[in-house]
Amino acid sequence: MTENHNLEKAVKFLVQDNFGVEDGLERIVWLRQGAGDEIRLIEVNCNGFPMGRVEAFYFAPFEQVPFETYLADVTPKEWQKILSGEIPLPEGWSLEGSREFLPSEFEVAGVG
Amino acid sequence: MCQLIRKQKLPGCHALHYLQMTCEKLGKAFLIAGKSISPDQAKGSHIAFKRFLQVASRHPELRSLLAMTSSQFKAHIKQLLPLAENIERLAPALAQDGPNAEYPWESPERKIHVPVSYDFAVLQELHRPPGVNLLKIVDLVQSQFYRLFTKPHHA
Repeated sequence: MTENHNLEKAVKFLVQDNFGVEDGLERIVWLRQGAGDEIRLIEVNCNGFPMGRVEAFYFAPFEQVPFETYLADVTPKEWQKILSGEIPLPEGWSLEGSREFLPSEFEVAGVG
Repeated sequence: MCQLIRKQKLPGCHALHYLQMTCEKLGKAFLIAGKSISPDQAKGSHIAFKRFLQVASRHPELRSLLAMTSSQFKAHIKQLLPLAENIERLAPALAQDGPNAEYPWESPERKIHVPVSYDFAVLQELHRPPGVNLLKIVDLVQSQFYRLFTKPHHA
């Protein structure tokens, strides 16, 4: 199994898990460019608190996700501003080549 | 923290003050660990804890340590967020001349209240199931913060 395959597997685990625990997530965007073996996610959350900037939170590697993870929680309005460039991404982050996940792609019930 | 709230022998404002500060520091530490803000920028913020709870709840390992499934934890967090906000609002900067755990304040009826003799509703809430769960999470996060939320070389 390749490193990329493991990374993608870990991202999908985290994405499915997070859709299961937060009802307000309308999409999760996986930022891949320049991330190396670090996972960078932007989670667009209708229940989020607007901060007017992208704040990334760090999750240390653990068994199911053995990669360093940065997770940013933004509101849908903030997401639109990120897309238009009005709100900048953290240094080194890029939307180019990113991959978007929607809740409808995942069976979220029963995630332990 | 749980012990301090449950077995308090001092007026409740002392335990509430420590709890508010602990929660605030945890929230700020979470932001600083993610390099979202510098320690200097963190000084002026008192509203990090509710946000911390909301985002930290997405760490599968944290839920595993609490022996909860995602659906159980989701239900818990929904109950805990209003309580977390009430705890955040104990900070004088957020209390807006209302009840806080540190300084006297004047009510709209021009009565002076002091924390040491004030009957804080949030103290009662902490003895109910959502409050007990919140304290359990705060205790666990305090003990596991480095492992869960900082780069391994800091552990």
